[in-house]
Amino acid sequence: MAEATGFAEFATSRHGALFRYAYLLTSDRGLAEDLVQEALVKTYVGWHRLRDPANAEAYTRRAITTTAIGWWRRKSWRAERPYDDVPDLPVSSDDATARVWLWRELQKLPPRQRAALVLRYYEDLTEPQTAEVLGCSVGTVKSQVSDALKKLRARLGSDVVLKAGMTE
Amino acid sequence: MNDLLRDTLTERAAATEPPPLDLDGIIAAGNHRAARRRTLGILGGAAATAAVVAGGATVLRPRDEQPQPARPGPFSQRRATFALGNEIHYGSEVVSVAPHTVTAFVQTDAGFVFLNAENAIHVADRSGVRSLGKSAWRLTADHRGNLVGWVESLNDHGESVVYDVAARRELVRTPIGNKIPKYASLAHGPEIVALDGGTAYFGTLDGLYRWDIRTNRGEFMAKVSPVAVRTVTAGQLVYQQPLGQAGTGLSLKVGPTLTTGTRTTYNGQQAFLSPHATYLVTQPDDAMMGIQPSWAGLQLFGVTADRGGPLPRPYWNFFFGQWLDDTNFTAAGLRSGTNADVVDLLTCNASSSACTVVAKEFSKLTFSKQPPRVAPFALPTGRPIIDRGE
Repeated sequence: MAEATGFAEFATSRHGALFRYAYLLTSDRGLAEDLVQEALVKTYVGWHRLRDPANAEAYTRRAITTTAIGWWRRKSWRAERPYDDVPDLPVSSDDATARVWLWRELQKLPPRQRAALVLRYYEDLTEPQTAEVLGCSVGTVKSQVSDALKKLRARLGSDVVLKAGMTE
Repeated sequence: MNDLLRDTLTERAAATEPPPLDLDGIIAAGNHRAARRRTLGILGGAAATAAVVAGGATVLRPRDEQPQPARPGPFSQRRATFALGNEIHYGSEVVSVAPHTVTAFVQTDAGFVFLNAENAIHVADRSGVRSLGKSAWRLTADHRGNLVGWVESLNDHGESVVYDVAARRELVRTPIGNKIPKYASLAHGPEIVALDGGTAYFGTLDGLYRWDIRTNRGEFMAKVSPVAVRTVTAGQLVYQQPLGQAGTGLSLKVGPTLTTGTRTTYNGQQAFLSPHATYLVTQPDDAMMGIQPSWAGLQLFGVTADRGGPLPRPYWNFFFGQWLDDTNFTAAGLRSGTNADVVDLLTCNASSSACTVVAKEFSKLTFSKQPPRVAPFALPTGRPIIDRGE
């Protein structure tokens, strides 16, 4: 009973953040919901093994990531995700074009690279923390991020970055 | 680039509202999975380990699979059903939805999906009521199965949703075709026209889409009003004449496409096609506006079979309920004469046009003076009965 209570508190408090993370990985609300649900089931089943509940979020985030990558490999993800381009809330208009372009280009990245970018630039995790979630070495994280940024720069071109007024 | 990336991700994340957390479902799935592992662990061996891996995937169904219930759902039988206040009368059985008041509802094999007075969507079954945390103006269900559809209205667009009541999850959610133009005055909002087996039909602002629920992919069918096609059953579309009219046309045709099929024209605006598309019941959009002849508020036609004849005249008006099978349907009959506001629940046979009273005087067709002027009862069409008169 105590386990269920602890898990319920964790899931209730962190569900929104986990869903947003999953959405950034998939760009599909339905898949994100599935990912979070699947990851939370795994976390619940393994709750008694989590000696420190503070580890639960990292554990769940890793489950979301690995499950997403697994789905991607089975191609079920790519086959069914073309329509989720409109956010729930209106976005402000400044730099909107660059962000829309970037969002679309992000969706074309391989899942590990995309996950690495989301963990580094949205979750603000360090490289060692990112490596832990992805289950790889720090060197791999560096190369994944570097390759992803290189692709984005190549696809978007310098104009977009300049228009957006962004700097490295 | 890094700032732009950070801004883009933050913006997208902030613009995405998380769905409601189904904690009960997660814990139930977790307990199921843990129990399964314990059982298989007793069996031991590599085979059991492999079975755990395979079994783990069955709790949450992959998205591209159509729900296939292993056994009939608890409400798979269609009975004479109506809602009154906070009760759904399912044949002789009463399902309480208190403290909610049902304004519109549909039946699925897994339970009833209803809108309350605030248009919030709920599911009711024998174990109780649960909120889906969503709202809509109308619900759409198939003749059989666990699926229900609705359109959610957001600030600048609508989203077409197909939800599996048994699996407790959304199978489709798409904004396609439902971007609301600025300063637009819409004659009709988007609707889920029909769920027909594994296919959903979305009446969007851009036109009609046919959507394969299993693959979650759709195709654009025609640039027509969201309500130009009234319903689709057994692959047969009921569509208005003239097809391109923005408002609801006054007559209907039936066919497998919007340009082929029977040349017969059927009077009416709302359409209820029997499960095998054998019979068609039509109804004017507003049956209380003195439709002439006044008793013909609901009309019965044979599409591929002969109908029995006109519906009985002791009732001066009808409200369609649902098809119980391919021949029998339910309707609320509004009496003529001194008890003109009293309604009986009827079952009618389309082959003979004979109707039988199954719930005598179950309600009255009266409306509150305060909007929304909704009737005190509802039938499983997914729409409320509203008095739009001023």
